[in-house]
Amino acid sequence: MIRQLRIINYRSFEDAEFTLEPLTVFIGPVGAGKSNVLRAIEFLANATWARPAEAFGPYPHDFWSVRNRAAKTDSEAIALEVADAIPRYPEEEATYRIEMSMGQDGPLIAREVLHRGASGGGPTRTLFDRRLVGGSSDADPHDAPRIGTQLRKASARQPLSDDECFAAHLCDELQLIELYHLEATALRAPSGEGSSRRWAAPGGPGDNTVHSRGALSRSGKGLGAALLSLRDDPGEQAGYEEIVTEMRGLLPGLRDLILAPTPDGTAVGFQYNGESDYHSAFDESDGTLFTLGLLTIIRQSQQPRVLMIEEPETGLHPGRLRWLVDELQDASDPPDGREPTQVLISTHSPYVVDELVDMPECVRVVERVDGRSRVTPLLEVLNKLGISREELRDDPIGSRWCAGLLEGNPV
Amino acid sequence: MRIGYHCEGHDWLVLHPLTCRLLGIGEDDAGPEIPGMGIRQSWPRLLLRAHDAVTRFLRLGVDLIVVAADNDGCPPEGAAEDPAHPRHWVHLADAVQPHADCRHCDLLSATAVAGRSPVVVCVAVEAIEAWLIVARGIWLGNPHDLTAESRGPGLALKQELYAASRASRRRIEQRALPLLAALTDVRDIAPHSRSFRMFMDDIDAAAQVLRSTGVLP
Repeated sequence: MIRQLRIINYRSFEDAEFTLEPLTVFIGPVGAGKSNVLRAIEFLANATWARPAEAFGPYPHDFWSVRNRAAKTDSEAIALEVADAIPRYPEEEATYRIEMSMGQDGPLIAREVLHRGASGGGPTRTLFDRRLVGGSSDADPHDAPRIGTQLRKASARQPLSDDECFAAHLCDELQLIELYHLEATALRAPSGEGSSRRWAAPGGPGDNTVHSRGALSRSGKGLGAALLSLRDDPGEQAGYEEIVTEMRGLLPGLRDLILAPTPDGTAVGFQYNGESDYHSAFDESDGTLFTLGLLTIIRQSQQPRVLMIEEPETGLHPGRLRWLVDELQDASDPPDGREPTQVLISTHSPYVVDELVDMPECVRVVERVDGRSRVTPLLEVLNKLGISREELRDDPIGSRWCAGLLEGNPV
Repeated sequence: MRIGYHCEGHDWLVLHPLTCRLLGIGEDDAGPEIPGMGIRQSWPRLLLRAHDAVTRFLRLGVDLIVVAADNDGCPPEGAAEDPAHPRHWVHLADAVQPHADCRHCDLLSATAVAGRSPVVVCVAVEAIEAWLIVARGIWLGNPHDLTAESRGPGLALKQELYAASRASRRRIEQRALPLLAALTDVRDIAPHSRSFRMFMDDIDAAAQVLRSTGVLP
């Protein structure tokens, strides 16, 4: 689980450091930087594995496009620092920092640091601190970072020291990150099986970013193929049945989902009781498809370590929002002993936030101040306003948010 | 038979089996009507919409209406509690609002709508989780659990029962409902919870009305 994140010179962030919870909900005005938090985490996942030239991509994902515009000199680096609790090492915590800047031959790693320490703020030990620019290291700064190299060695079953194992496990954790921003048009499109990739490259169009455990893209392309793979995988069939049951609850009269082969790939259809032919996804509402897309993400047995969804409430009826928060809470803190998945979402729905009235520590307020994004825990905002947790029960977070009380407050 | 619930979040999941067992009917024999199940109902919202919810239930021809809230608010300063009626304050003679801070009285007043179906107002103290913890105490023979109603606050009870400060539907289905199912008789909760006792008495009174109108055999 990512416990803390520091973002320097990345997109709208000049320098911001904040904690994350098992379930974290980012609220804030349009353009405040909520999406940029999620993108930063996705970028970090890529940066720990790939060569810098691959971690970035062509415009608009290149170094100059994603570096904060307020950077004063060309040499100022993008830096991401993460404090991560690795399940394999429950008593310990990793702190990893990577700094990337631009050289004459393209983007490069300026510095890479990994600390290993006791969880809860105990003493730490530096496993490596590589200053590839302006330091004594003779390693190629254009090469993949050391942490990714450790994972490659582990994958190739090369012998590793305990510290190298620790680094490889951290890198592996950071690879198991998925970001979704579902779109109705993408969810409706029939699609091929998709090609699973080890990591998601932001350089290509976001629509084609396919996650490793299925065929569903970030925007929801490949829904039919993803459902087909669940239905036909013996290990995933229970999850597929749950999806169909949930959809029957949503759509009275639904008999079954149809996964139909078409020249363009697998299409999703909806078969209703008493009807001889099925309805294509084009006939169904946006809310139906968004629900099906969310279920497909959530109900797979193989979950990522970090699941990030932008505005998951999009298209959902207000009556489904409690269900949505239930699903996200249960994924992040499973009541039945499954492995937890850290869930990070952005939202514009006051009803979603109201559902968190008993867990306000989950909410982060993202705002732009003087052009720079900042992230503030909701409890800190409430504390400065003199609002207690108990008072939230009678006038929950969402209505206070709508009333304009939670944003625009001095730090 | 149809039972309408106007309550907070997923509380109807617990209220429905309790109501059915107190009425002596199977859960499948009574379809629950739950408007607004997708939005969290804070106390002011729940009270504000109670009249409209009851009116709608009556128009739908629902046979029994249960309006429920937790009572986890702070008592008014210096107020004395009616010994027979938890969280019902002995109102001061000079009070400007005669029923201030008494959720039971507020809900009774808001749901006084003319109709043939009985309306039961249920105010759990501190929260419905107290009833469930009492049920656990009866089942496991744990005397500490039997004091849940007087322990409060509601959030701590929720944490104790669900190991989480928020109860998702799956948590309720996995951790709470089996406690009720394990009880031979849910009426055994009444000696340990005055608020449950009131709920039980009100359901019994409603059952008499339902028998007189032929809804219940």
